[in-house]
Amino acid sequence: MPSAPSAASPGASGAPPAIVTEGLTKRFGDFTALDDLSITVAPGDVYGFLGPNGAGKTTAIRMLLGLARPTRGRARIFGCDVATDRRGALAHIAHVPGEFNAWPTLRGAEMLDLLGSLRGGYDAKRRDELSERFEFDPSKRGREYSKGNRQKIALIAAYMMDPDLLVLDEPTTGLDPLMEVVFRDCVEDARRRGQTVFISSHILSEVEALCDRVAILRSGRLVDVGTLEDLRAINTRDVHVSFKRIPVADLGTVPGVEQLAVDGLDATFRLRGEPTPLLHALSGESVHSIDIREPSLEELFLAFYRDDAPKETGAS
Amino acid sequence: MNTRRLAVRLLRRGALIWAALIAVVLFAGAEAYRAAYPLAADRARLIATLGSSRGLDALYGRGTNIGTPGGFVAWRYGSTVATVVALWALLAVTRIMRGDEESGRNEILMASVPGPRDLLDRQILVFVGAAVVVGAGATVGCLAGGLGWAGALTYGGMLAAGAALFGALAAVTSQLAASRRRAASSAGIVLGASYLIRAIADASSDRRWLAWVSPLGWVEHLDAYGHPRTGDVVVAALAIVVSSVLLFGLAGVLRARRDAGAGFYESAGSTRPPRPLHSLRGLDWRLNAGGLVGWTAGVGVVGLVLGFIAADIAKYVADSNNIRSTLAHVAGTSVATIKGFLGLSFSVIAVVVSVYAGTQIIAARTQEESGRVDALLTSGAARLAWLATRIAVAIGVLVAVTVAGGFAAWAGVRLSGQSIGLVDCVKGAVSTVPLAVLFLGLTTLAFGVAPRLTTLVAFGAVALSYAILLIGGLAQAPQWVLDISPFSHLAPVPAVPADVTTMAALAGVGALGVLAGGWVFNRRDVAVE
Ligand SMILES: Nc1ncnc2c1ncn2[C@@H]1O[C@H](COP(=O)(O)OP(=O)(O)O)[C@@H](O)[C@H]1O
Ligand SMILES: [Mg+2]
Repeated sequence: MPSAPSAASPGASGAPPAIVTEGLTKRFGDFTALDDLSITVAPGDVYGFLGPNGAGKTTAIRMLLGLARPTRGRARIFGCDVATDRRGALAHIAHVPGEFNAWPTLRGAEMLDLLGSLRGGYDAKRRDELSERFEFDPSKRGREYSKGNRQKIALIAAYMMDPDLLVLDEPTTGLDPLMEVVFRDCVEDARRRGQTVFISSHILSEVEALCDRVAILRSGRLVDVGTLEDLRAINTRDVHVSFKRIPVADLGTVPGVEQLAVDGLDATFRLRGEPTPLLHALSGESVHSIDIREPSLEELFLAFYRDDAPKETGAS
Repeated sequence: MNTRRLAVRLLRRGALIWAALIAVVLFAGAEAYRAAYPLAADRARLIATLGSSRGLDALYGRGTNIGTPGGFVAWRYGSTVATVVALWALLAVTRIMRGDEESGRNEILMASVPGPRDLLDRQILVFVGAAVVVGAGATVGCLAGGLGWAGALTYGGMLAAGAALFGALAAVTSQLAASRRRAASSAGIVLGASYLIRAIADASSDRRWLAWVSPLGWVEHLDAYGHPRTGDVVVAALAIVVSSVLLFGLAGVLRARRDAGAGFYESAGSTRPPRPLHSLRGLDWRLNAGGLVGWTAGVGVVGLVLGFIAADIAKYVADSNNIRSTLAHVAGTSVATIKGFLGLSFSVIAVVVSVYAGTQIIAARTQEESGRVDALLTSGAARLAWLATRIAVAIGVLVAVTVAGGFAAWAGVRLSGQSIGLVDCVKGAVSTVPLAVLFLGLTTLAFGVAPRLTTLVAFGAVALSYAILLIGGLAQAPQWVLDISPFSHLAPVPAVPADVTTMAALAGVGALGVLAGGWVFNRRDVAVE
């Protein structure tokens, strides 16, 4: 692809993609944190960037933002090459880091004012709306905010800007479940407005709930790019069932149940796919308790590769 | 990571550098003394001229035994080194006890100890160990200079005790203030006052008792290599140990009574309405406002003391025929007039503002390390604009602070009943700005090329340059060695007219450093810890 002009009009036919990376690579000494990442994010997509801790998500995002220089390869944001036109690229982006480090002595309102003004002005009404939605009190000093509240500053600053592209690096770290719901609503709003959203996460269910497309990263390498359907194939749950009486049904024959281990009245197994057959099987039993847990991504990956699941295209 | 290991890692480098530097200064001082005053007659003349100069007493403390190498070295460097070590102590302690809490770096540590006081106890232990290391540097230097065991141990113990005392004070202010900056400046104010009180006490004949009010006075009373009075030594040592223990204890009590991240100075629910904040310049002024007051006050105190003692020193020098040669070894050149003395001693202000220049780039590095600058850069601020703003604000503050220093020196001269031109005084102090710009440039270069070394270069370059001048002057090193130190190129304004060419050269080298450092910074990774 020839280097496109920096002017971009989203929506027009032939408009440049929101994000293109070509062979993006980052080494720290001998260690390769990101290896040859090539992805394309279309305008308007809500795109998940999934990988366990240390996979290289933040490294990739810092290169998209021009905060780090690629060892090799390049990135373009709406046609602006980050290496040659950093400010042009950044003009399209609002970024929420995994952990927002607030200025300890500045007040929340002052930080929002500063970040908004640096972008050349912001809509105060929208800021207040967002503050209310996130139940954020902007009158405190940076050092007085909890981690979740500091995170809200970054989220509000990003959303009040109405950017073409939201780059969110594990944005829900530190948010309580109620605020996570608000955050998801905001992503839905952005989708409706036609904004592009790029979300990194190490939690499969989060990406599953929000994203149209997903890139999966492991140890710096792109494992897979796919749709939600593809993702569901690797999604499993760890289930623990406690019975009051020895069950009549044989759980081992229930579709989706794998690695079943029964110990007296307790059954532990892994559930793949939808839970309906399991619920049917359990409906006649006397169940004391059910515990369903989402395994960590690393656990999922291990299972995914050991089980030699159907798709391993692009895996290393 | 083990909590103790982390504290050790944070303090180790500074403690070892200071220990080595002090050892070298004391060793070189002893050698230089023997070379300059080989005979008993030389030493008798030295006592006759220097032994009764109240001005020098104010600056260096009372010398009770300057007719011996040990007594001279202890007098000439005792007070200065003790003050510098106290400064190190309060910066180190506020860093581990408040700085890491402020940046959230110690959140993991907190999880690995039973309670906040346990963490504090370990930090105190490690810090006291570091203070002993610094003191041991002095002992080694004295022994290497052949100055005798008893005094070497006393001198080392004196420095370690002074460090522990001011460290203990900083441990308390680290609990009171919620930011490292406020913790350090509160402790720094006490240190400045201690210095001032000790200086006044030593300069006067009827207010000697004042020295007992100043912790630095206690340290002085230990009187290594002097003619100490046993009663004084015991009382002073007790005063130091007891107050250190009490202050460390108080820090523990305060720590147990506050929440993580909180302090006692600022009430949590302060309701001052937010002020508009629209630009990088506004941000830098806001972040700098507190520091500006502190540095201005510090340089003001230095200027006031120098001005106040200037006439006294000039008089002693003028009264004595052979003192010019004597002072040639002490201060570098003749100081027979108020202007002469001020011109020379403004190099103290040069050191302070050079350190200030470095701290401004260290602050930039801290903003980078903590990830705060990411938010600015991804919001559209250009990297160079951000750095340039920081540097422009720093230079503005440099000028303001030196003007204040010159004004204070003028006021000091007037207070002592003499007169001097205000413009001369201010010119002299402001003429140190190009030197500070040079160090600003060096540190910016480090910030660009090797950001992890920013702090080391900021303080190390100033310390090394000053040490070259100090040790080189004593050891009568060849001129080209002295010329390596930028301080050698500082003209003693107002004793001589300002040397515009040299000033432009110093500032020019600094500007090159700023440009090169900025160029590299604009191209490298923004590195978060
Ligand atoms: N500045 C750096 N120097 C050395 N290694 C780094 C640096 N930044 C990241 N890494 C390493 O690169 C890998 C990827 O890190 P990161 O991108 O932060 O992962 P993620 O965001 O997916 O959790 C990790 O192993 C991390 O230790
Ligand atoms: Mg990350």
